[in-house]
Amino acid sequence: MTLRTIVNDLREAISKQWLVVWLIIGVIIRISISPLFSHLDLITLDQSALNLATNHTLILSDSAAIIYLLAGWLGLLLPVLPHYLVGLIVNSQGTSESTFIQSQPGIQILLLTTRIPYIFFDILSGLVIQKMFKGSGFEKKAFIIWMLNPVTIFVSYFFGQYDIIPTFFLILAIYLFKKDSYALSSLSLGVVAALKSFGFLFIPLIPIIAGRNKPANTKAKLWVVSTILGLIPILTSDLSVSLFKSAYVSANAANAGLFNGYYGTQMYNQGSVVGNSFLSALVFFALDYSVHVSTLESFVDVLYLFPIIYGIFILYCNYIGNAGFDGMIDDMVILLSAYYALNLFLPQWFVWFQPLLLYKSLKSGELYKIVFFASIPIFFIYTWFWDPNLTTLLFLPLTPSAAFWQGPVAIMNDHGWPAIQLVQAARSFLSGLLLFVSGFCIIKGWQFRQNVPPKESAIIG
Amino acid sequence: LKERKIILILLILLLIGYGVAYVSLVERLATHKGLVFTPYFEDSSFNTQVGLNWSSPPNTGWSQVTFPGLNNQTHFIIDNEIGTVGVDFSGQNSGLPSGVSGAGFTVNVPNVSTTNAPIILISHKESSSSSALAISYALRDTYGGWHYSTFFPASSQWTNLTTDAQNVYNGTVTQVEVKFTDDYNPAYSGGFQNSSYSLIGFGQSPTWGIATNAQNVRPAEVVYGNAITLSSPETLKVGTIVSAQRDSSLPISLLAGSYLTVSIKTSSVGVSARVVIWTNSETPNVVLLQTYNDTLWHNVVVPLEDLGLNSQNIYMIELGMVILYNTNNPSISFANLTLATLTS
Repeated sequence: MTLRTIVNDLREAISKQWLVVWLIIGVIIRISISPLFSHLDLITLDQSALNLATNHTLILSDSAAIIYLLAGWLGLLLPVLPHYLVGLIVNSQGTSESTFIQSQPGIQILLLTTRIPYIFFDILSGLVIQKMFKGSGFEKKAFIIWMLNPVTIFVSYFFGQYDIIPTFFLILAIYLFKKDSYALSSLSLGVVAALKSFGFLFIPLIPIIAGRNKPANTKAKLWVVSTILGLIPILTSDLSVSLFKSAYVSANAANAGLFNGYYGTQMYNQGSVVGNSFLSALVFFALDYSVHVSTLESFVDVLYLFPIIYGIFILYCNYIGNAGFDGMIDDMVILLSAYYALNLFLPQWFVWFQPLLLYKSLKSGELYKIVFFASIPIFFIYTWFWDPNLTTLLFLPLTPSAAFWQGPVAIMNDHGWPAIQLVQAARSFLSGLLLFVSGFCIIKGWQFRQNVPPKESAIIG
Repeated sequence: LKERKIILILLILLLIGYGVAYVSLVERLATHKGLVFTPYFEDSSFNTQVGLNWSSPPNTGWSQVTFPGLNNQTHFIIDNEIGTVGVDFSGQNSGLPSGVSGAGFTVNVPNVSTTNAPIILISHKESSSSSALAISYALRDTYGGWHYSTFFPASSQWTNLTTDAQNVYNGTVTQVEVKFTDDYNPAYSGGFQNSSYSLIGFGQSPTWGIATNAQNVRPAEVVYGNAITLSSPETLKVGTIVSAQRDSSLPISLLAGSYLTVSIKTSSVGVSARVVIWTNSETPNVVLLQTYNDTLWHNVVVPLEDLGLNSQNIYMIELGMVILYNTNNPSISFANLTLATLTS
């Protein structure tokens, strides 16, 4: 399995007429939405990328890997970007001015330009997904659903989050795993981790699942290769940071607990001293958003739910879980379902789950279809937690008056409706669905180990 | 295969063309000027003010004023951005009928209108606060006539004397004279005394008062180039706060969704800008703590709503600095202070 094989597969894919038609439709939808909507996170990312492209100094507002990618891309296109706007963003003090910046004339071209790499990786994701269904009869359906998926479209092109890029590398890792290319699969998961730390948690799955029923030395080799190749992108991304001079972006330390940037000679992220960016991101993902309980001793909280789940999960994968490609998909579904169900999660993180849920809903029956389609409206209700940033303020590039519009939560509150409780109920309902999915996959894995044929039909009716 | 490649290239070009055309169309259709900051309060005390500090070469515009009968008993020196006059007070001065002893200096000013900038600010400190000692000033009009102020007591602490210059002369001023004398008691014989000046400036009312949590620091309120500057010639320790406070002619309350905008310049990264909005006499709300690693001006926007301030009353605004690392000769400047809302 080489990269050439993948390229050949993709070349073969775009020779299909239906695929080209839906690809064009998908791209037109994405291009049409991109210049109209914005979010402060996108402006912050643009600030880092443009700063690197113009001043050659680094603002580590996100993973270094995405900043390098966007800096390279936007650096190429600097001549066509409005100079006034680039100057405004590069010299801004961060999020405090983002509402103002997002409403400025000329922002449209920057919004589209920033999202072109997203469109590229989004299309590639669709192409790889339909390849995963090769010969199953679901290729067309999978590609169309991917191109029209409201969750990925909202997160990438309304909201402007780059999670579609790590999602592509996650899909690629799964595809490579299916093709028995474990080394490249590990490398691809390493790229996911360099972009979004959650990818790191999946790297052990490769030696665990691929090494099942293999001799000890093969297992050991798989562990070594997967670990090394998985760590290469992470270390490259993190260590390369020292090659660049850090940009001095002033933070407002009066904004307790939420300030990003320099105060004095120390840099902060979310009000904490910045350390290693990958580890900080991993801690943020695995601990900060996890439910935890305190002991009677007041000085430390020791019990965090997500690491407990992860510990159980790793043992499950090793001793109980399904084998092979389906085992890989199931295990990823189990972990992500449990994460979304039991932890606070940012809306953009739900994109990681989309290819897995899509795969399961087309391949494994009605249960997943129900969850896949039911999760979409609930996801949009969940985004109201971030009202108005994820509702009315998205429209700022289209009309500055959006800054004064009331969002859905505010409108419902004005009418005396329990808006936040509604959001909480919807989110909890989603947790219920996802916990069931997680549990169902676990039972399926258990049945696999017991050599009992999975009786999905009995459970899902 | 070649045909496929051509189709692929055409397809890519088509999509790029669509993107360019679509963005152009959106930019034409969505024509708006964007959000703008609309101030509902601007601090005008920085505007139209003229300040004179000692950074000018001593031989440019400054000259010593000597009193008859006091040869070799006075001096005038400029050092470390402070001008100092010294007088050896030895009783009645036989050189003048009034018997007054003293010394002073004059400085050229670029045609300041006391109609527009009616307040004069003199930052001074004397070696003695003897009740015999006084400072005074005079303003020279465009015809060469001098207009004299009353006397103000000497002070052994740094003091910002702010007084109504318009009452002394209402019109265009070309020169200012400052004198250190024993006018309150010409028989005074306290020996050698001196009077130091860190600033002379003209501005509008209201002025800003100085507040600090440190002892014996010399904060200077400099009105120069439309800015207010706080500085100290000494090494200030970690945690020292020096502020300028304004509690007059403010809006009664903040408007919903207000932003505070201000330009800030600091002398080093160890000096943190500190902006406080007092919602009553006992409730300070720190809305800005920010450092810069250069000595350039920075335009700062503070969304007050994000800091929990929305429609509250305003009792006082405080602009100042807090020392993060022991810093020699720290200073901070503020300009263009506004409270504004975003409007479309």
